[in-house]
Amino acid sequence: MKQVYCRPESLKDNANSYCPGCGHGIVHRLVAEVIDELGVREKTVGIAPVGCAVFAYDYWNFDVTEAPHGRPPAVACAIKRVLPDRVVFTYQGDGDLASIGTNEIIHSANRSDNITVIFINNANYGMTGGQMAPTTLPGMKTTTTQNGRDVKVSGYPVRVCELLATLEGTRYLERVMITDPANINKAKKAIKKSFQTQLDGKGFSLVEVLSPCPVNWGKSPLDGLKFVKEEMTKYFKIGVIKDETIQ
Amino acid sequence: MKSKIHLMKGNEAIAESAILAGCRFYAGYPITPQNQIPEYMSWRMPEAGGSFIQAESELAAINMVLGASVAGARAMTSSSSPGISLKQEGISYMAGMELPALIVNMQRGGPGLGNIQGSQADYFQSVKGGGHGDYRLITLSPSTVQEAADLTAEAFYLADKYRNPVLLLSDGILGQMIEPVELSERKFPELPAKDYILDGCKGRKPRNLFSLMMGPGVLEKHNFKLAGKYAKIEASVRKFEKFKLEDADIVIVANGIIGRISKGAANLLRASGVKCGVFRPISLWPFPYSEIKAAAAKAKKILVVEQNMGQMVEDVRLAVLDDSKVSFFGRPGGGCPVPEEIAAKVREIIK
Amino acid sequence: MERSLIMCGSGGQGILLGGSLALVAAFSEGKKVTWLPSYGAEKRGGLSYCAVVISDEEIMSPVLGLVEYIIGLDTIGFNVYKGSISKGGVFIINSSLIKDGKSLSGCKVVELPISDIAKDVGSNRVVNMVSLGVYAALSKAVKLDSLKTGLEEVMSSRHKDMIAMNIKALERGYIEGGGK
Ligand SMILES: Cc1ncc(C[n+]2csc(CCOP(=O)(O)OP(=O)(O)O)c2C)c(N)n1
Ligand code: SF4
Ligand SMILES: [Mg+2]
Repeated sequence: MKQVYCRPESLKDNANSYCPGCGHGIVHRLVAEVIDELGVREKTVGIAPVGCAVFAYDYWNFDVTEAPHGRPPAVACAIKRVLPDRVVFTYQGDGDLASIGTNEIIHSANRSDNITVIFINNANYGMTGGQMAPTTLPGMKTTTTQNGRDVKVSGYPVRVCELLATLEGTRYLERVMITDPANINKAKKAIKKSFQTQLDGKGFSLVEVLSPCPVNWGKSPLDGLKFVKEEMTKYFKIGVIKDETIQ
Repeated sequence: MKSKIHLMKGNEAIAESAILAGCRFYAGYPITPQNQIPEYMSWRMPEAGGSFIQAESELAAINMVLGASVAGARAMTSSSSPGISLKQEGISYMAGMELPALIVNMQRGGPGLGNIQGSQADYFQSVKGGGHGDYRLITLSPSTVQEAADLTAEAFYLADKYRNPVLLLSDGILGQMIEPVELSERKFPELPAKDYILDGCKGRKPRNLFSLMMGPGVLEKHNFKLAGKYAKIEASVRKFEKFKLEDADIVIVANGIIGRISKGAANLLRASGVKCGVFRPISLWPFPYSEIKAAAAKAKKILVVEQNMGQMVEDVRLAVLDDSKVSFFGRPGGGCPVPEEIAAKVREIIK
Repeated sequence: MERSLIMCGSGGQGILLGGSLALVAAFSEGKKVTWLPSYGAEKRGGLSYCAVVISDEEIMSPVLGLVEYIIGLDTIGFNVYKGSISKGGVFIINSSLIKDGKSLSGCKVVELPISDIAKDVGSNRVVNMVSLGVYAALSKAVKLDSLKTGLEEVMSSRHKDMIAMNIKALERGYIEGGGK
């Protein structure tokens, strides 16, 4: 019998503890598949965020370090400088990257650190129980915006890719979603391209993944996917935001 | 809200008590186990006519509180251990600029990301500096939800009275547990109008607030002035509870949630004929050195119990000045002893 | 006298709500009370528990060592707390899900198919209430009536339509526990 679906070597044989319908598990797998396909498992160093994916090291079968909340890009920058031939990437949530860690991500991008960033936008703080994130949509209810996000009080959702696109240092920025097989394939392609950009020594790249957090959104897994597709994409446009890899 | 008994989580009781005490500015950032404070404030503060901001980080939050204090508001922030570490720079500036505010730390296990269980591992950080420079932070440690609410109200009064930040040092257990609590607007002595705030210089000379003092001897003079203020606080803000100490052969010294659990241990021990009492420091700075010294003089043994590997015990040793009398029992990393465990430890040291 | 209760199981079984109902009910009877929940990861179907203390006097420790009554609603909770029952304590076990209740010794074991009873009452979601009814009958630490009146306070407005079924579940548990 031909095996058509097997666990990538870069993924450990552990059941993950994410909620039903959570996007993190899917993206972990895509990253693992890409690392396998590029044959770089043994020279990869990942940086896990503080967020629901903090335990990513329990799932990925390569070197992964912890970093304080929001600081993975600073940690990644240094690892890459010390070990320039290794593959270094950060995996960060929207609270981690776009709130407490805005400083680090902007300056890492601006220096064009030759790293890959996988950015999980699930429009809230998953791990701490569903508070507003910088990416929370206007009117969206969270535990700290119980009547819906009021932009007059808490500002507007931050579009990370568009923001970073203004910096000279960014080489490749794309926003994807993982709502169906076709889009999951596109997401994987983007992640692969981002790692390839690093392997080619071209500099900073980031893939933003619109990802469901059904539990904190108070939705079923299916409605979670629908919300990504129908609501999040209105504000966060899917597609390549910047590509300077071919020059 | 008229005085009434509620069943409330410690975190919520702290938030409501702050509102009743006139706090009209809150900035914070999510972190377990204190999320109920910002969540409660997110709807309650606007209702009370104040500002709630979910800041982009703890760093921003403490500096928002600094700003609110500059502008004259009663202001607070809350967090848990990792977030409190980030606030230290701001706290140092506020101490230097003599700005009042309340900072709440619902401690969790550390170091680093640690865990989210209750802990007392931030004792040193709280009372021995935390941030840089020669400053002191009034640090209050409640043991019940009621006391957390009461100390929150008093913290704002003390902060304004002494123009100094005040830290409410509690932990995940007290933050998460529900207990009956009576909330009411408390009366404190009248305070003079704030004559240092910056609200526009109409009708007066422009004022400044700063901690940078480069001139020869200027900073030294400022530090002497601060030290004088700290001495006044040390003389008048000592808080503690004495539990069954009159005839105690054994004195347990413990603060916060461990203080009350130790009282349970003392009751167990007394039921079996061991004369045990508890000294529970409530103000950790100023630390009740002389009161502990007095309590220790009559006792044969002192047992310090903490949820860490020995921090407050150093202050108890300084108070007692007889190391042969002082033993220590600690549970680090979020571990929490129960009364039976503490009682067993006492039996061990008196054997 | 100090009465202690741990309710344990996994996320989704209404453990925290059940425990807070015991708290509210005992408080309404003029008792001193504390309630301490598990927190953090409960949403992910992992361990969920809460500790409730009911007393006539000041409660010293909200944290429990050996416990007088434990309600175990599934194996996740049972495995963590099976060693926490005091000598002579009572372990109320949901035998629909926990099969090794017999392994306990030194305490009274009350095995009842609580999940099946809950389904019989109307929904698996009221396992917590059935078990509380059993607890009230056995421990007499809270009155059935106070539990019933307490529901109004602990149920969020979204679930007010569930109150009737919850009352039925409390009553049924009370009878299963030998209450009259
Ligand atoms: C300095 C600091 N502040 C706050 C926290 C608490 N905290 C843990 S995870 C998290 C946010 C998680 O949200 P996000 O980055 O969006 O990741 P998600 O869980 O949604 O994937 C926060 C605020 C912390 N651990 N450290
Ligand atoms: S809380 Fe949200 S992000 Fe976290 S595991 Fe659950 S679904 Fe995923
Ligand atoms: Mg998020």
